[in-house]
Amino acid sequence: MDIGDLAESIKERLGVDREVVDDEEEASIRSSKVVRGDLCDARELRDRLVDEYCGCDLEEVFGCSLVENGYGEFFHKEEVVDSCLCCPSCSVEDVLCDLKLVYGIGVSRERELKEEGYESIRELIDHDRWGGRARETLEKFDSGGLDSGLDVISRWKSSSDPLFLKYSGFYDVGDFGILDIETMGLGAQPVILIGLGLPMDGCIEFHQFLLKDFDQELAALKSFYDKIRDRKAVLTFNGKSFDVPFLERRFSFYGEDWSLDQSHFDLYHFSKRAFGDELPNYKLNTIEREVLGIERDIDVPSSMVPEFYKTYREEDNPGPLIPILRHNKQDILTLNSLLSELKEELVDE
Amino acid sequence: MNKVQQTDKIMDAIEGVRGSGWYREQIEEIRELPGEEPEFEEVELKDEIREYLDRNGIDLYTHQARCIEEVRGGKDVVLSTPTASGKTLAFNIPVFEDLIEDKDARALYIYPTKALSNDQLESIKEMDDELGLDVDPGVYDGDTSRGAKRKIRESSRVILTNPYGLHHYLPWHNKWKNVFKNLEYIVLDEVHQYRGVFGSNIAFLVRRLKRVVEHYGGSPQFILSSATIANPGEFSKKLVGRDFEVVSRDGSGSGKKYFVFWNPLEYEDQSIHVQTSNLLSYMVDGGLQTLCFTVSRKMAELISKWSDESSDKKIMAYRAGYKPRERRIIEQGLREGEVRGVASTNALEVGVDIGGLDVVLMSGYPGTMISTWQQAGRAGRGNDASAAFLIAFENPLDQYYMNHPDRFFEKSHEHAIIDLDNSNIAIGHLLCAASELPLKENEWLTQNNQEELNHLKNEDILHETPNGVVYGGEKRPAEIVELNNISQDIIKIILNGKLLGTMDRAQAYREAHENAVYMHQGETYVVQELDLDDKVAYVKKREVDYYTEPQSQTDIKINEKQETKTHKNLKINLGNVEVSEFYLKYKIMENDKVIATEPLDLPPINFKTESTWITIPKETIRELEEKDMDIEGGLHAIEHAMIAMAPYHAMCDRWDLGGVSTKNHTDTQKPTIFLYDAYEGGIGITEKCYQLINELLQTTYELIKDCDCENGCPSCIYSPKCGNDNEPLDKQTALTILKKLTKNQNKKTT
Repeated sequence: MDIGDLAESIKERLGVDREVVDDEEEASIRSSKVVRGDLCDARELRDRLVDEYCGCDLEEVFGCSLVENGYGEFFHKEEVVDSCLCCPSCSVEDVLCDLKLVYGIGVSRERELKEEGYESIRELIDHDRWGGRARETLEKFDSGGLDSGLDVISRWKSSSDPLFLKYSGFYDVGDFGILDIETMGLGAQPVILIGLGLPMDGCIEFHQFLLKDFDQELAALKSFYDKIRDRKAVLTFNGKSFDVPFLERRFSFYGEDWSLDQSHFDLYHFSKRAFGDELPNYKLNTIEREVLGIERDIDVPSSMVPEFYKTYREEDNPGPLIPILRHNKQDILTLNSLLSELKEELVDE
Repeated sequence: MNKVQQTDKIMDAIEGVRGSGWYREQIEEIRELPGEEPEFEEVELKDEIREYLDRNGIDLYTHQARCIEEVRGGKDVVLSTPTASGKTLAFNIPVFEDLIEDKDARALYIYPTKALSNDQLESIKEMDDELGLDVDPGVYDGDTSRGAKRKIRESSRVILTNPYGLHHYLPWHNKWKNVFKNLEYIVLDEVHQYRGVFGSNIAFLVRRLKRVVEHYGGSPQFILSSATIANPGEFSKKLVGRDFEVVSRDGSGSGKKYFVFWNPLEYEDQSIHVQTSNLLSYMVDGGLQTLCFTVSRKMAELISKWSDESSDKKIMAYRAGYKPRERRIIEQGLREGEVRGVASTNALEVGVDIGGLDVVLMSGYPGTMISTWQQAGRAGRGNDASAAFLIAFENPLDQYYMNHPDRFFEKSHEHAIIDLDNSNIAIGHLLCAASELPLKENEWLTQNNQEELNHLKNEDILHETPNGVVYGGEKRPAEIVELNNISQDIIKIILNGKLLGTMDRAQAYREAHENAVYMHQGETYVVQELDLDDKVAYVKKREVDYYTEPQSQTDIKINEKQETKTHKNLKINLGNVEVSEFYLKYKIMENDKVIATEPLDLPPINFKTESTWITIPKETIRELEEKDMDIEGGLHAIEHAMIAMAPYHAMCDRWDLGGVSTKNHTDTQKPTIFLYDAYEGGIGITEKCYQLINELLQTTYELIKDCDCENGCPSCIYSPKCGNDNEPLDKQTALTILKKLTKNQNKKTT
């Protein structure tokens, strides 16, 4: 094999092994599997879009603009969407009534203490045995800043504990950044689209940073980072294990030490806990359909996103990007609604 | 026991064998290797380390002292000394001294296997505990939980891992920032295992590791440890890309050793393995602690079982795959002397501390001199006498040594080969590197592989950016690059919709053609279909008592002649060739007998590789033809014997080489014998054969000449992988030709 043939055969092997299955149940377990019907529909959609948008200009189609920021060029779309992030405020006392946040206190000890009349960590500070530790904990909540309180909760609670949700009430609407990304794969590949919702009073300022091509990734990452760095909290669906580490890895790939170390509310874990028994799987699409009653019109399965982006690159045709951008935007809006829904569930409990 | 007593005991045992009922003159040779006194050297040490050594009654050997001083002097060091000479301590001391001094300093220890890193963790932990440091060493591999991994990255100052893991961790380097930033040492242990295809892959992996570490500002020193090899300096430089200080003068000393050559073929009625187990139980019953190395897991089990049955004492088996606890018990038993006899695979050849034994039996030549001396080195406690038995198999190289013991003892350790110019290997690692950090123009990887880089850009897999060249494909490149493999043409084996394994195309043709019996981890499967378009073989699990063996014919075409040399009237060439293997039928075998032959319908396999070929003058052939000799049989026999002897000269396995012989080759228009590297792109073996061709022809001649058989046998000219059923073969013609070809040297040596 000469080197040209080698490169070609490597390219072949780098394509995703798409396992096509007939059963939807099976497809939902692993994302590399795709249902046969969905695959056909998606390819049909892609071909239709290629035909329809042949020769069209990407900026016109999406109403976005090509931005140059010193790091390179990327497509940026900005719009304001009417929607409000439900963020009922929460008082610190709501959280402090959980005595288990004090080191050494477990379920049964808490019960005993409550029976003795200690309702809150605040009331515990003069307790002979627990006073010292209660004071330490209290200090973290009272004067340590939002992060420090969240750290205390993270240490003692599982990531799906409703206390986290409650705690999100400490943050103002304007503290959040809602994040969702589309990528070429799950590992060492580039990101292709970053969606960011910045809730304001009564609306969401919505941004999309789209890669013009792989060689301009850093430019998109940079502008995205500048937008999110001031937000105190990140809201995602499965972002703790995917979106955030993925982005941080891309930053470090380019030698940038930017980090996304804000407070992080990952709705995946809460959803699993709240709706687990009622749903066939915990995909965002399923939750939005079954719980929020949202139906998407044209959509692309996540596993097909790389294929659509590749078509855009190879054919220089904006068509296949349409469902990716819509999909991403819808994910962010869904997250917004999902937080409200989860909080309502919490109140119902 | 004093030295004289031990020597007598060993000698008595060896001589005693001659009196046993199963002795038929199998001892071909007993060679006495004199012992050497250990040499010690004082080194200035930190108080903590000095106390640690004193407490454990350790004096430093000269090579350990030198290693410590070179490392302290900031040099990259390779330590190439025999097994059990205290290599681990030699690099642990300077590393730990630094860890005491600098509380942020980190070290990364890389072992060839998971099992080895687990074994070594114990001794490093012990040292850490005794020194009262908080180094907190940890093994980081596929078995480490996610939580433990985070803790190790955060706080372990010595991290032990293996290349397979590292290959997949590198893209996640941002998590390793603090480790890499403070990385002072990279220790690569047992580096002689990193040779050939595996080693060439590791050389690229090490370069990927270096660039990521340097990216975070780390500038570690490298410390390599190796068994004795012929070229530690050159080898280390290829592996790491730096100049190394070589420490190879062993100061550990040794006792007297008797090396016994045992040829089971002298007693035809008793199998090699039965004789091996007889020897094992005989030695154990004679009060000698004995370790027997076998070639396979199955033989380790069988030999321990058979010898256990005939011995008064317990004889155990040891191999990879046992639970760590079971292995620890055997290791400790060996160390403390309670376990008297063990049959083991080469899992006990390296690393694991089992102390010194009285006798080592090697059932079959272990394949390389390096392994042979490593295994033999397991015998010998301090300065006590010991014995090592080489028990020959019925194959050419083993039998050659039985007939030429001098050749064995005068032979130096092999050259370890690494090839940095094989595009098949380079191209995969380029992709991996570009997915880890953008490739810049001034890097070694970029400069050394410009052509591969350009092709990958043309294929739109790599992309030029203002920050360097980056990866933009769908899969993680590390997923498709296998450290043991070279080919990019990979077939998947699928059982009930699940992936059972992968193999390259050539292997699939041999083991996974339609109706082939495919063996995998002791289970048998029958191949239902080999789909070459989708590169998938579908198998079903079946218990069968037959196996299949395909037969192939090979065509070879010369693409480019690079070098030619003339020796007497013989022309020897080195160059690039194109090999086509045609798989036309397969045999169904039961108990080594052919029960049927079926046709195969497969397109030929074509690949380009390196070859060395010899053309023989037509006059020589004409003379023989006039005497009615079988020229084709003669050339074919020489080809087989040369391939069998190649591992004597270059470190390789006979399966790493292929051969073709013909009375008249289209490209040369002469009688020609080709040897070629059986790997796409070549891996440097036939190049070594070209350099050593006189020696190779000489040993080939000796092999055939000194074999007792009349018309050829598995000990000389038969090949287990011959595509033509070992036909035609003609021993006498082969000898006549070789005699003419090596005439000059024979005169010199006699």
